[in-house]
Amino acid sequence: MNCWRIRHNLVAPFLDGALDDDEQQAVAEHLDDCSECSVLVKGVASLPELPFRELDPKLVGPIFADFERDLAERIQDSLSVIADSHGTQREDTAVKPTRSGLGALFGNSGRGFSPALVGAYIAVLALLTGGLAWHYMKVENLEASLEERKEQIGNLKEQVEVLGSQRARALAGFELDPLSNPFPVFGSTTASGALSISGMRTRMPLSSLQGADNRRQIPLIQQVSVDNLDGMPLRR
Amino acid sequence: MGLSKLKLVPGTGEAPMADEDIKSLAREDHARAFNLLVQRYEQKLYYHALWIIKDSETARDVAQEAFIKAYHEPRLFDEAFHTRAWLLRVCTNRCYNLLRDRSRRRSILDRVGREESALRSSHQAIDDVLEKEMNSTLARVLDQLSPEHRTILILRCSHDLSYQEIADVLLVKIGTVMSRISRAKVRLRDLWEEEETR
Repeated sequence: MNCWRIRHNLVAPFLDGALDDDEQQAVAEHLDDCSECSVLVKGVASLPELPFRELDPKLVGPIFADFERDLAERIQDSLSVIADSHGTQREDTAVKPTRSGLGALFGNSGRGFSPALVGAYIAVLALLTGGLAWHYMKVENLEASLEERKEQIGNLKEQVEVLGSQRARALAGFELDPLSNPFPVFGSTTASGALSISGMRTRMPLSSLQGADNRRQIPLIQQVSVDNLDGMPLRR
Repeated sequence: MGLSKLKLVPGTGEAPMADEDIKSLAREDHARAFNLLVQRYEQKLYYHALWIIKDSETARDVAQEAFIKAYHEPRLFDEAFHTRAWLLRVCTNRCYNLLRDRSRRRSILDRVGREESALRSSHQAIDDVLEKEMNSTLARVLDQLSPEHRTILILRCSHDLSYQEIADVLLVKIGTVMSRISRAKVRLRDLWEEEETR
């Protein structure tokens, strides 16, 4: 607690008892020790009652005699100004400030529904309904399209299987020679160092190269008997 | 214009209705609730403005302007709306604006050599009383305070608002209210002691 704080912040609430108990106590303790602050607080406490008091009713009577009538006229004038500025006529001058429930939602302040507002709400509702309908139609179309595509995919799979079996039959008895083509697509299961389908060289253990490698024992065939396999030389 | 006439009647001297009761009445009868609100606060707003601006006619005008603004305020009868704080704030701000304008106008009038009393007419009696009171030492001292200090003392001493209610009126933190009242009172004490030692 310091003198500045008491002088500038706490003297009035202390005298009014508006401080917390702890603060009230701290100020009281400070006043016991500090004569300057003590004099200040006593000086403030001994100020005379401020002259903000009401005057003689006889004196102010005329002021309030026609207060309501004048006020009503001025409010009427202000309403006229508002009505003029809005270009509308209002039948009821009583503004109902508290709007609640459906009345608030529809901007109804107790004077009936405004046709313009109702029209605007209907237009917004129509737009929303139309938007939703369009959305659901689009979803249905997409679902139908998805089914169609699934069917197409099934058909294609069947065709692939048929073609695969045809190719397998056609290749029966043939074997790939990986050395005759630097980038063979198919690799022989028996050839070490053959390339994988992706074109990357497979890592083969050295033992496999030295083991039962029959690659060199198979005679190379330059003449390709089946010529529809991307130029891949084959041997029988 | 097709506008039905708004009718407001003076109070009958009965005890004013509480804010909460006026708010619940407003759901059924807005015009009557507004009328009761005017009856409840007209004097408070008039005196509030009178003590800040020290001119009866202007004070009455300011109080009416606050009610006109209240009539057009959509939240006026909302349960959570601080009606009294709002009305006092509107009144205070209008007074500040007028004081600012008046200080400009006064400087112009001083230049052309006209007396300020020429601007006053119908509220002369009240202004005379105020004038008399202004001659007291305390009134002279109060007159030297800034409008902010004067207003916060009015809110505290006359309207008897709590620190929190004053914070609601002025839209400041409660700590600011505490320090502003403290500074206003210390300033008042300093000026008071200066006057007394003369």
